[in-house]
Amino acid sequence: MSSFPYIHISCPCHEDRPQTLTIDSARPISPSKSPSKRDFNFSPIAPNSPTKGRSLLAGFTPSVSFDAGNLNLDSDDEEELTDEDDDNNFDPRDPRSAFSLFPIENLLYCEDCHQIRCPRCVQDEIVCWYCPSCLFEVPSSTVKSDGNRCTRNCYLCPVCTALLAVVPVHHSSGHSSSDHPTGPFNLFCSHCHWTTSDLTPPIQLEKPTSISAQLSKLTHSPRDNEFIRLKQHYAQQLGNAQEDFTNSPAALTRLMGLYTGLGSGSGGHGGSRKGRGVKKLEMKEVDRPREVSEDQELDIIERMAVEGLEASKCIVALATHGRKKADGYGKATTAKQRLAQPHDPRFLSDLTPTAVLLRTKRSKRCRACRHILVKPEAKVQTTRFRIRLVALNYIPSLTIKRLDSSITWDNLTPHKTHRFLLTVTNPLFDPISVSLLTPRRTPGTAFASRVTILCPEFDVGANTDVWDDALMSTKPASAVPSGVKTPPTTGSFTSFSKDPKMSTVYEQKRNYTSVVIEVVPPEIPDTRDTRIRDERLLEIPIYVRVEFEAEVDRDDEEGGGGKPSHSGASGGAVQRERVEYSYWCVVGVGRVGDVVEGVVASEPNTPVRTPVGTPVKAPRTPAAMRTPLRQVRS
Amino acid sequence: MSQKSEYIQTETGNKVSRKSLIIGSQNIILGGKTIIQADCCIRGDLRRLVPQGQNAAAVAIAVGRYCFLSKSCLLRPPSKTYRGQFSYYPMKLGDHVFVGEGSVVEAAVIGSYVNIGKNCVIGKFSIIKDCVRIEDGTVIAPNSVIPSFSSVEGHPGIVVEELPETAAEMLERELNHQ
Repeated sequence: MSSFPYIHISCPCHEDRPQTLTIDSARPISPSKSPSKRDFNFSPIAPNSPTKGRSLLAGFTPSVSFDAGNLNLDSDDEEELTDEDDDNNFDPRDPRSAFSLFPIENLLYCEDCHQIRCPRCVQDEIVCWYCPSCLFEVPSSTVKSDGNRCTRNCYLCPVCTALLAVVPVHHSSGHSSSDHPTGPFNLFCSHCHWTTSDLTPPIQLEKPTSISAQLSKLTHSPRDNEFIRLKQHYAQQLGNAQEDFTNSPAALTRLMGLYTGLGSGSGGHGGSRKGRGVKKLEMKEVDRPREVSEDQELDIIERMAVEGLEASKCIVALATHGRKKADGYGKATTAKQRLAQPHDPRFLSDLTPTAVLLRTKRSKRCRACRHILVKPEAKVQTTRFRIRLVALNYIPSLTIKRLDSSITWDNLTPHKTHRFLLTVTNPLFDPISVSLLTPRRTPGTAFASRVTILCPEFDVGANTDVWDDALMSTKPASAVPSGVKTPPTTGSFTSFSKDPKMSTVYEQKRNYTSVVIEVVPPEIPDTRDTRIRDERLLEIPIYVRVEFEAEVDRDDEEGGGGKPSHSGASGGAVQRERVEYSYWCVVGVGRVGDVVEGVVASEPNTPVRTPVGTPVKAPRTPAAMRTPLRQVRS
Repeated sequence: MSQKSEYIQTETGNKVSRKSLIIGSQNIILGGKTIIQADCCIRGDLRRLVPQGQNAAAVAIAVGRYCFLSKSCLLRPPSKTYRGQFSYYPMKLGDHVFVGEGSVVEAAVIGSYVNIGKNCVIGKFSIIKDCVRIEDGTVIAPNSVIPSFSSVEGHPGIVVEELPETAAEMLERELNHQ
């Protein structure tokens, strides 16, 4: 895992239920709008049970929900959730969770589905191919014909993967060198000083340009011919089969059946597949096995034996002289080097320079509604985006800091109350009210830590212009939604007592609010060596629920606009609507360390509280520790 | 208190530690709001050799805005022998560049939003594009090019991860929290 602390947000796709179903229900076809094409477009992805989708629709809240699993989670259910209702709790240790947890930076947001989208629930489309070394764009037609490697002069060292430079073989010293250095040239790695002259037939180039063409002549092996032959064969086969392999599930099963059939019918290829009424389609494998020339193999064996002999000599030398570096099988390739090459070289002298793999710029689509979430500019060198719907701009982000700088993240003391500062930052232009819910004991482990969020409900100001700050301080807090029990917030700095008392926020500024979270880890045996999972890893799941009043979009607000939401805002001049959404996130607080003498189970110090519950006097910290943390604004 | 006296603030808001070693400052351009910590060494004296009588294009090192050069890092213009003549070549850093403690930078160009970790070596004439993170202890081979949205690690550095679309914000925030 990354270094502590980290905060990962759970993408709704982690639920058992396929995500497309919930989206289906989240976007009921509005009466005003005829079903558009994209309402049906995702049918290949969506499993074929519309009835299930309907039933979900009934339970779905009219507002936006980020967590598909907690559809029926209304405010009434909070207690239930925070109590020992383990079924609803997100378990960060669940094997499935690992796939859906991402830092907020990696998440996208679909404005149409009102959902977080993780890299698993977007579809990539290649905008352009380019060489990461020379940064030239490669047209996709070239990629199709010549493969996904740079066909210019970019080659990597086969030994250390650094970029190779073209240097003249004979270093003509000083002044005699004219404008054009004279050949022959070789490729030189300026990192490990490998050159193409090190190869057993040394490769030397005549010209310093068009290296690909020269190299392909020089290093053409029988394997390349073999590959070309295979490629031709399968291209032909594919051409025959093209009409059968449309993108339908039936074709896919047929394709799978085809291959299993091939596997069973040894000898006659695909011979056993004729009976099933499937359109007769036979994929012929290349019928010739790879030829292994015995002489070559013997040669390799011999060389390996020599190497082994040298290795043993080296070991002897090491034993007797003690100084000589034992490089054993130093001339043999490592697995990594071997795998990077198409011809499976056993010895360093067989390695050839590898052309640089191309990279792509990709646009990303929501898998459910097919809307584009990310679209980079097509030019290779720019880093701008035409469309960029990242979750960072839509959902409040959490950060965690130590309240007490003596806490070491990777060595938390068991039984001690650790205080952290949880900061919620609002990226939206509307003020939001946030409720943070967490299981009292961290779920999914026998060694649960006790977690208390001292002020679980609070407001976060709008992400207004920094200059508004000054203006806001003269005006009353008009934009803050009412009905929340925290003190009224203005956009300006409000100084609360720095004593982390219950039910007060620790700090509140323009668009972020900090609250204190207390964690008491138990004594946990170190299981890192014996088990796969680290029991000492302290991860706290937090359920973040956000409510705000947003201006209703014109007509494309199907998700929330289908029904009027509970807070009203009906029929005003400015249509404002209460929007609510929620998501789980996991705070990786740290690792629990060994028991420290003197720290006893601090039961009286931290009574078990209900997270949303009544104020309990917090243990007082020494004055030195109460100094406010330095606020760092990005 | 000591903090105040340690740094000299320039007109454009650069903060340069008195304990840093800046040689050839007439050949160095700082864009503004750049922080240079103690024991940093910037070799502005290593500039392009020009024949006698010509006026040299005087910039050896250009640093953009909001950069942060941590303790004991070294910026040195890259050098090579070209057509029999040894010369240094200018180095350019973009905006929001962070250079970690003890790193040695000999790059030709570093783009904006680049985060270089501790104890890295950025080889001669390497080009680092925008939005790149270089992990601690990475050695970037000379002449290499690191494309945008890459996270580089290893020895020699290879791209281990593609950074998300939010890389610029992410790297800027990382810089601010250093």
